[in-house]
Amino acid sequence: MKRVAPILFRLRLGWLLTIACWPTLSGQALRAQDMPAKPAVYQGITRCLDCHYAPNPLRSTDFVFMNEGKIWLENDKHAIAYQQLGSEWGKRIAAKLGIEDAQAERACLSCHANWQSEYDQPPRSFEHGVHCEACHGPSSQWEVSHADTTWRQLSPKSKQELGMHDLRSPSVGSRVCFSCHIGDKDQGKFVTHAMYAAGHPPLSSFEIGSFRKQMPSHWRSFQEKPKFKHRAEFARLNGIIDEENENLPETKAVVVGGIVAFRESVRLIANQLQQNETGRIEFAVFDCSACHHELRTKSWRQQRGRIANRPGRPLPAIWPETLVRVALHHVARDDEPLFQSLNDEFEVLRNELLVAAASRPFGDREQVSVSASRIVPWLDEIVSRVENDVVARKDGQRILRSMFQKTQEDLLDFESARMLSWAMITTATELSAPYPSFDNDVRRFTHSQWLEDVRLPAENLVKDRWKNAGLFSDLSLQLPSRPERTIEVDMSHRAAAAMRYDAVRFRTRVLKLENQFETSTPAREVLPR
Amino acid sequence: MPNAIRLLIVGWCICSPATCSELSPTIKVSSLAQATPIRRFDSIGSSSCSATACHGRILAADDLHRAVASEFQAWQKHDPHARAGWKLGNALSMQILRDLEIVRGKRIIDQDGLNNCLNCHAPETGLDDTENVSLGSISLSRGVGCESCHGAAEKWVAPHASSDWAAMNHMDRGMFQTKSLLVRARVCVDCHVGAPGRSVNHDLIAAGHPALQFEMTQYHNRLPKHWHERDQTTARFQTQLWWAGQIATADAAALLLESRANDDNGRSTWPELAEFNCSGCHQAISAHVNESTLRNQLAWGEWNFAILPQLASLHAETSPKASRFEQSFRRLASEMELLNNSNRQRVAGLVGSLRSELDEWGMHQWRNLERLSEDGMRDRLAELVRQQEFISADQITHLLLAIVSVQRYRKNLHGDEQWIEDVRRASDQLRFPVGRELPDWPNRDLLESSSQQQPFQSLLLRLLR
Repeated sequence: MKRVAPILFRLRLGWLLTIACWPTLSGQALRAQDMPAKPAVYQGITRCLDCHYAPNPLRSTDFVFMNEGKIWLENDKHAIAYQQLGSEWGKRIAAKLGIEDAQAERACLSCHANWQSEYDQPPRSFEHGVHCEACHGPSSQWEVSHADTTWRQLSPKSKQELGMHDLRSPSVGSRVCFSCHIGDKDQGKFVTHAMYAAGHPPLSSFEIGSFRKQMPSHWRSFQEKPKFKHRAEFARLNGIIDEENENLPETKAVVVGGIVAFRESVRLIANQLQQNETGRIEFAVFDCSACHHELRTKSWRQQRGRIANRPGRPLPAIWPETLVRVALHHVARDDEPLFQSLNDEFEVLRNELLVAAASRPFGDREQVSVSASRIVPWLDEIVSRVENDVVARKDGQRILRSMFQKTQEDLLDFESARMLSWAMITTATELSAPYPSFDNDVRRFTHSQWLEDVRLPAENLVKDRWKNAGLFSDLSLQLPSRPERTIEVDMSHRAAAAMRYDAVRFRTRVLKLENQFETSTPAREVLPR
Repeated sequence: MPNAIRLLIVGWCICSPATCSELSPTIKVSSLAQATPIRRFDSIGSSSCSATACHGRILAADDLHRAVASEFQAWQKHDPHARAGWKLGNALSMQILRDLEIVRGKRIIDQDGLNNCLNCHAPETGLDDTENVSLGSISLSRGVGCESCHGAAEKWVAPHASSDWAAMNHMDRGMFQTKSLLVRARVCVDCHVGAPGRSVNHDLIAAGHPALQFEMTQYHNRLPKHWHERDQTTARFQTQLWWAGQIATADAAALLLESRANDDNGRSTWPELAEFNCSGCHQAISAHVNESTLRNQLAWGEWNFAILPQLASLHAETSPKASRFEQSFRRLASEMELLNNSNRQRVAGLVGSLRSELDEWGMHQWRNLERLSEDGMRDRLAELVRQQEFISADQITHLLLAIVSVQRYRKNLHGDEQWIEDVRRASDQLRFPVGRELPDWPNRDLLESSSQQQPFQSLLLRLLR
């Protein structure tokens, strides 16, 4: 008996230890509720690049290629965002603003290095500009756990709680982009008119689908990844519905991005004017071309008619609302009365904002913020209706058709025309480049082959049609992708195109394109006003 | 006839009000307030003046020099003011009226808005007010008629034909003393710059109304006249005319700003964008990144105050009046250029003091014009060209116009081919680029490479020989 007890004790101890260590032994990640609550911290770029710079031959690349960092470092302008502050151009802007060193200036680093307003110091690796954590979120809580395949079994909500932003969701992802590319006062990110006057390139209209693709994108969408562990569960958790070649993720992103653009723009206007108690006006929230246009008699601007019944009053940026009506067409599907009622609701809300902005030169602060507080929740509702539903092929065609319709119904200004053109190019490309079907032998599929055989030819075909219509040069649609095309070069093309732009010419040219695309019914010809 | 009597008759003919111009002024204006037309009487209509026995004699109306009594025909046939009323009925005007929601269909829905138009374009509609009146029944035919410039004739139409008229007080009866160039200019600018109730603001301009840019000498010289301006081709007249125009324009602009700051007619137009230079905002966003300072900055008062502040600054050290005027101008300009939407009261205060400084300094200049020799004005302009740095198209344009006005009839320069060629060359540099409706001055790159600044300056000095 005496000799059994120690053995039993060791067995019990062993058993207890096994139970205690079971989770780790089985490879399960620590679940969110097991983690102590503490704020996520920015760790800098080196931890990411350790793995994501080049593929490790021992790791599978079914889910991620592991070369994201390399693509980003070599091609993406976000990588040189901080550097640019110290360039010749950056120094000139700083000098005119009376700033000694833009690379130490908070107002610049808020966007150029993602220095959020609640932090006293810029984030780690801020010399690498807008790097991984700027979009993907501070990584201290998930850096270890996300490397395991069980990470895919967590819901986006749980990941968000740990600090990883759900960039797969079009609404979350586009908000991250717009926080800089439109602005977000809460995060301290805003390009003032003084900065523009000092030489900062004007923020262009921003179409999510095209801009993300041209970064160039360092990721693949779900439809481009035929096989990875936990794929079915992952689809379920991330709301990917009916993925058999019927879901058009880019088009969905275009539509959602279009609504979120307007939402963020409206929030920005309200925030800006609200903080303007001294009476000083912040011109940057208004449409650039409201003031910056050539004075002409019999101009297309006068032909456009009064948007808010007040000639001579600058209006807020117009381009963000370009795709909202398209989104409403999609939500209503073929139900015309539903579309009419949604559109009426939208017009009422939007006109309220415009009237508030035009009630006196540069707007009435209170009226604008009241109006904004009504628009934002309505838009959020539309966003969730689009996001939680599929965008099938038929829907894509309808969306493209309604985009063509938009070009004929309204006389668009330069930036709106660009926004709409990019949206149309992205949608048309996705419609003509079907995603791979995985019914056949999955092992024979290679992503690069698909890109070469299907995707890129479709993209080039669509773009060529736009180029042949003269629209690429009219609107300076070529995006400054990759190191070869700098912002300086892009800016010179854009400014020249903006000077030459004529709304009636755009409308005529784009209508001719319509019969080259499969939209089933032609856009109604609208008589010019 | 005894020589003395001949002499007396000749002397009377020369010096009577009918033939004397400002050169031997019989009308002394002592303050700008006095020069400002006050419209308090009723008008009786140009048709009353047009009687054959009065100002409507049927002489050869083309023969303006002789048409002493065919003023009505001369005005009707040649003067663009006669057509000002008809303009309100054309397509552009109707579009403006609709866009500004003054008119809906054919109904007038904004009385004040329409009166704002009528007060300049057709002041003698013959209506007490336009309420309950359809657009079609407003008489536009009278245009800017006799009484618009000479004053409502209710109280003076009878006495002015009598022999007692010279002894009566014309101003008290409502006749504007247009013999005085200063009063004349002040009457012109009431519409051509603006006044309370006659405001061409930015809403109106955006709707399609041409922006107002008035310069007295140019407008006056080109106007087909219904009177004989005997001394028009003398340097002294042109100099006086120039000063009259400048002072009157500045005064009207200040008064207009004051009324805009104090009461915006419930249309919430503050900050009033028409107060500034167009190209301050309306400039193409340029991709051309260079070392130059900000071009085409937002500026207030550059057209309407022209080069007066610069002229004042020439004497700021010796003349306290000049220095006060210049400083009050700069203070107001800085305040306006903040483009703040809650500084109306501050602006109203600053405008008030600017107006009184302008009155003091401006009237002082006006009174002393007598003593200013022909070369004196020339010298001042030359000093200005040498000393001052002019950075905006508006200021340079005014400088050139001043030089041309003052110099043209001095030593018969207007007949000098070389001088005319120089004027043309100088104007070419201010011409808008082809296809553009905004100036491109100064082209900072050229200026800073010092290849344009020097030659232009010496060109102006050559014009001032």
